[in-house]
Amino acid sequence: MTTSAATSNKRILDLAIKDLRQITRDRKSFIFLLIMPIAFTLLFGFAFGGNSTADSRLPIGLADEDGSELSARLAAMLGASEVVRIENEGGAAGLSQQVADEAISAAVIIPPGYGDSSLAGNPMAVMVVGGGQAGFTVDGEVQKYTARLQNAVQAANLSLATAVDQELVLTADQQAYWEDSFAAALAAWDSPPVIIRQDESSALSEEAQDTDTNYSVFAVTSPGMMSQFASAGLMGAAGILVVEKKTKSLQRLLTTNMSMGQILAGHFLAMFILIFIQLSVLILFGQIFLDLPYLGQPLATFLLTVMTALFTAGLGMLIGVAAKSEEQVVVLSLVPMFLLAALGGAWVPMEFTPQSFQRIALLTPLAWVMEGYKDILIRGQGMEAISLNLLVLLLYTAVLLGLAVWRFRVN
Amino acid sequence: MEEPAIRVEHLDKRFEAIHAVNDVSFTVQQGEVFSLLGPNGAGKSTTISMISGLLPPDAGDAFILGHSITRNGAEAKACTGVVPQEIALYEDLTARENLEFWGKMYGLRSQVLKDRVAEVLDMIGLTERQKDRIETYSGGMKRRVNIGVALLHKPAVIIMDEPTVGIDPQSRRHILDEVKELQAAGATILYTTHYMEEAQELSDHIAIMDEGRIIANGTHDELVRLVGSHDRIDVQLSAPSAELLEQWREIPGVSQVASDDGLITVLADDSNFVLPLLFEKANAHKERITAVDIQEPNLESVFLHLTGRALRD
Amino acid sequence: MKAIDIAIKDMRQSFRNKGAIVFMFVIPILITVLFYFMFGNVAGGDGEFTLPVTDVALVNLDQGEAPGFGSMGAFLGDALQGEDLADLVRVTEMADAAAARSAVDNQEAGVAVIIPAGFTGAIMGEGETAELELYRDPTLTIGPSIVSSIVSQIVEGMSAGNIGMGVTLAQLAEAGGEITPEMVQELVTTTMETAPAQQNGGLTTLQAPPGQEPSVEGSADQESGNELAQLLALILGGMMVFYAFFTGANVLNSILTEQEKGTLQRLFTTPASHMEIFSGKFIATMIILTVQIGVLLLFGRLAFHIQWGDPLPVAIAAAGLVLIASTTGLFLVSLLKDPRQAGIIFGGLLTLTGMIGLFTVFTASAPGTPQALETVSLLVPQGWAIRPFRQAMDGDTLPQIGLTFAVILLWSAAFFLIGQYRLRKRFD
Repeated sequence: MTTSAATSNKRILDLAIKDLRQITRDRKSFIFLLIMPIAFTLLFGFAFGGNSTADSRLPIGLADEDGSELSARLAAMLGASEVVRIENEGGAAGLSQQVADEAISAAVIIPPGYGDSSLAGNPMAVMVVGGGQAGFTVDGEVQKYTARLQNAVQAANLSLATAVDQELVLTADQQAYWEDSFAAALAAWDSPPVIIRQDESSALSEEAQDTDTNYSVFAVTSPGMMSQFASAGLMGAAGILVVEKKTKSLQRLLTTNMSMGQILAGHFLAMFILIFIQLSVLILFGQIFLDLPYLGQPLATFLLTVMTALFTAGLGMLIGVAAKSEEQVVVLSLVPMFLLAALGGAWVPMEFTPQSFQRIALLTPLAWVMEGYKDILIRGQGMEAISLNLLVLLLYTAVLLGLAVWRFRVN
Repeated sequence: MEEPAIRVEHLDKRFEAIHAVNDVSFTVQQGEVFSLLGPNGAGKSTTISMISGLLPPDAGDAFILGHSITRNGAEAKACTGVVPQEIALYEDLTARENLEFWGKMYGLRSQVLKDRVAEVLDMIGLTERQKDRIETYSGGMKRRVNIGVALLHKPAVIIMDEPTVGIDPQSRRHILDEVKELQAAGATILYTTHYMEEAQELSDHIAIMDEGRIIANGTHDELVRLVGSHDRIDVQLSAPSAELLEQWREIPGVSQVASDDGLITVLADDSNFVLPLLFEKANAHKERITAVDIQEPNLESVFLHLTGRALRD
Repeated sequence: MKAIDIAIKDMRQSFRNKGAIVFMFVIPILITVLFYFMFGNVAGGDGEFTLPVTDVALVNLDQGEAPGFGSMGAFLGDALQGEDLADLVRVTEMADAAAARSAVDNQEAGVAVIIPAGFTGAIMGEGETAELELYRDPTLTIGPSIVSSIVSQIVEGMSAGNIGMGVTLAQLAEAGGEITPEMVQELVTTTMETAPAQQNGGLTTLQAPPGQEPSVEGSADQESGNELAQLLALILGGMMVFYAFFTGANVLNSILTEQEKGTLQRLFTTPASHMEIFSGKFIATMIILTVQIGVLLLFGRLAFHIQWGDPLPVAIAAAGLVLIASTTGLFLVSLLKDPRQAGIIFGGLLTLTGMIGLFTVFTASAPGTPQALETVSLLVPQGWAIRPFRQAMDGDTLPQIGLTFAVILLWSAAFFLIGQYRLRKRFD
């Protein structure tokens, strides 16, 4: 490296260090940089059931208005379910209101006459009161058990009919025969002919996985909040550019030997370092305290983090160059933060959104960041999965920096 | 006897350990331009702040046309127009909107307000730009609006706090001319400055402040007479040493020697006698005098005489 | 009168401030529109949510044949590719299990259904237990769950036939009965025909909870029953509350910015008293908030047909929001020394408390949300500010809403007293 190039690099570094010094002196900027992303990761994670020690089965209420042996059996089956747990028992109206008040996910109401109608081969429908995904899930689980009960009745009926045909059972013993067959049919479900095994490719440890979602919610909230608050964190860095313009320090810089490109490079470097450190700290937090396997694919995580920091710094440069006041910096930082976070799936997983929306989202950088981290954290994939993501983020960085340089020249 | 425009009686103000204003009293007659002259930190702005009702005094009182600032603040303020040192305008509002708003704060309404705003805009020469936001104005234009706001309600007393600090000579000249015009129109002006020339040019009476106290008060001629016939010799030295300056102090006829970054101010009875001796001693110390300027006694001399420091310190 | 002049001046400045307009109106509307596009059923237009279509990679390794029924594996595959499931699953047949799993790994499919060899034999009771594999994309929840539910239902139906037949034969054998091939065939036919039918619904009815019943087509209540409108009501209401607090703080922050620029001191040199000056600023804040809330409520009603509730409860809720947002702003401003602190403090503190207070909005349909977190939301003013709006939407009684409003009044009074005390101490 020539002496002038070395001097030039030193100037860029000096400017970057100056910026970082200014930012880190403002202790309040740590609120946005570190405290808020951690707080929101935890808050959203816990809010969406990310606490693996809690019982994640859907809480339901049960109203047995029949009181027959069959309804009691149904209640026992629901009590042993791995999908629902009986939280309350009581009257139908009260339980329905509890569902409306969101105290429980659904209410299961066994109507009077259920037992007799089932034995007659024309079972009354069990009512499930619930809405949304939870209602659908509880309904499916109740259907399964009512079907098993009904099948056991049918099997016992068939068994008895066949035995009666062959005159194997005395009339006095028919009830006992039927009950034996019924019990045997129910017991047979403990060893069904076909077992369904659920499997997936997941990098998350078993402890970190949630039984409902099959992955820890933190695996989404951690990168989501990290990406969102990286955008907000650059407020401090972009603000320095604005203050530099306002106080005429920038003009003073331009009277020195530093070229415009060197000045921009210095500010960009500071922003990149700041965001990279922020993301790294948050990744370590996720790795250590949330059991997220960021370091399961170290190279992929490192490169994705570098690219995220680069594009965020590019955005920060554009905001810093374009904004005329510190207030504008706040607006121009927070608006993209919300927009990109929403579009990128930081708040709501993309699978819940229409295909058209998902296609639009792919035009935004945070969607690529989120998908990249999900590939690493949940699918356990590495470089082969995120190469395209890295390229897209690099392109975004180039575009944002290009715009920043152009705007700087115009100003 | 006519009520003075401003009567200040034993005003006192402390900020923790700093005694910013220490028992200050003076009187300003109606129609006068009265200057408070002193270096930065002398207590001028604090005194002005108390008189204009911004800061409550720890002791003492001030009266604007007989209205006490502590007991009849609203009446006192109604008679006063204040031009602050910094531009104090709403940059996101137009000049017209600023003037209309401030006029309302001074109790002007309806047609009276409209007419007066138009008059002031004309007075400050900004009628054509009245609908532009202040943020689009040059510094000089902003200063004009800043002054215009203080004149809306035709106050009997105008307080101007260092209005020419940091502005170009042309704008400065304009402001000084405006002050004279306002006085000619019958206003009383309390003017603070650390520029001797301004105080000299504008004022009927001057009070010199230093370290919170008024150390001299009178007309320009009265103040200069305090110095007697002392000549003021300004000497530029290449590398002044404390030893040389001490030797100069011992020269007979020299009453004061003050140093300010290579520029030495000497007060002497007779410059013709003292000057050769200054050169002699400088040569003995192998120090070179690069410039000499002899002036008749002025306010700088007065300040130097009274405090031992240059006004520009 | 001077207070009104000051209020008008502050309002003029606020409504000229592009940044303020963005925070007051643009962001809340933008986010609501975003959620509309995220969840809107554009094609249907009936406002009810539809489930996503899940791509399924299907592999059938089953070679067996059940007499009279054919391959059970093929039966399962055909069922998945049936017309009635076309809105939920899109099946692609794969050559082998590895290819199917690879399709999931490459995100070409959400779940792979791998029907094992011996599937028919297991169903017919002729072989060992068969293990059907569902290999799912770990990042997806709904789609694989739906496929899992469908496959489970079909397999349960098949298993039920097997169990019925097995129990009958076992009981017969125990009772010393005669088991002939014809009897077995007849049993197979009977059980395989009747058992799956039992799995096909009619055993349960799913009903919406009270207050969320789907409305009659064309009825006046149709809009309120619209799931999308309900979700957007929560989102827009939440955003309205969230940004109202920013408005309150930013408008009153003019006290600090004016102090920095010197115009506050200049105001103090005029005959306007301190009371008039600060009253004017507070009045401006309340009026601006009223405008903001009014515009957003109206926008929600017109653009998204949001039913906010009866006019009186909504008015009470809006009044509560105006009070608490403005007094919170006063309180916060009284804590700050200069406008530079405001950016981070407002942005940080109000974002944090806003998100805590609006948890009930974010977690509205998430089962398993710890109750403690919902209680935590009531520790911050935003949590109380959103409550009367939700109560109005839910049709709660006036006394219930009044109680919430009373709590809001208490919060507001406390903030007002502390805020004005601190400001008086500073400026008097």
